[in-house]
Amino acid sequence: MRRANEKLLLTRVMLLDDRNAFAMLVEQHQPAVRRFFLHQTSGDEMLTDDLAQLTFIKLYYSIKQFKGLSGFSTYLYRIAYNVFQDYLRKKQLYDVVETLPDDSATVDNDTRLDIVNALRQLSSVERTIVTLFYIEDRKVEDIADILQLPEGTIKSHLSRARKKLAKFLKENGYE
Amino acid sequence: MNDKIQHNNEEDLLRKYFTETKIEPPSNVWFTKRVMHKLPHRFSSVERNIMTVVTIISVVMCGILLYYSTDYILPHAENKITLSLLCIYVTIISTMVLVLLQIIRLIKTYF
Repeated sequence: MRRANEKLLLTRVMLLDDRNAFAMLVEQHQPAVRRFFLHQTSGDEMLTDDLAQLTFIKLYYSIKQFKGLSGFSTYLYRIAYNVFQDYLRKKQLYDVVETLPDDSATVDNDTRLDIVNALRQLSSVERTIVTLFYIEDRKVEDIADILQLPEGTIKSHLSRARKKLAKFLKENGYE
Repeated sequence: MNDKIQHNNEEDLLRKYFTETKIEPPSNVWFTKRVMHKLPHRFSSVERNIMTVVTIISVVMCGILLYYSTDYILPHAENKITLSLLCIYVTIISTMVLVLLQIIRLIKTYF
């Protein structure tokens, strides 16, 4: 039912440039996109909202290129992933994000600090894959489609990330 | 066998961990409105109609100017000084380019 409604909204946006339909699509998908960015940016809410807005604006411009070969949310995550990669490139933050504690992050409670520290054990690609797999509950084939990488590569990244996280959690007394 | 058990244990541990600790974004009622405000301006039907009428008037005036220039100014070119002729040519060409740009802009609003 929801998928049929989503297709109807997409058709209205593509054919009629219907802004109300686009607003409904944004409303439906913004929690997932913002959650994705929140885990990528170590919990920085302002940066998350900026990147999520940019994602939806890029979606508006590229929505006619969506052919329906993959799911719409997969297409949206691909745009979000590319937006984040562009952000990292522009700010030249690859090393900073991966290794240093991020002072700009609005870490405001123990739970958040906990998951942020856990995700910091991972490289940028591993963090994205773990977020999509465990938090957004996407299949490996979807993640391969989003990151434009072979499924085998995703599985090996996931396996490495799983080992790193399990070790980190056990060392910190989480069983 | 041991590897598989270890893999399953790690998988269960991480599933449980992320279910318990994942961060949910705080509700932001302004988010969708902000996105909608940043989308490109779309012409309303009134704006588009005004633009169409203005473009048609410009095309007609351009045609009259072209007719006048070829039928009146150019046959009497020997009576004009070079600078005046140059000004006339520049004016005609600029007007035509502007009208052409306006036509392209108008066509874009329909798609």
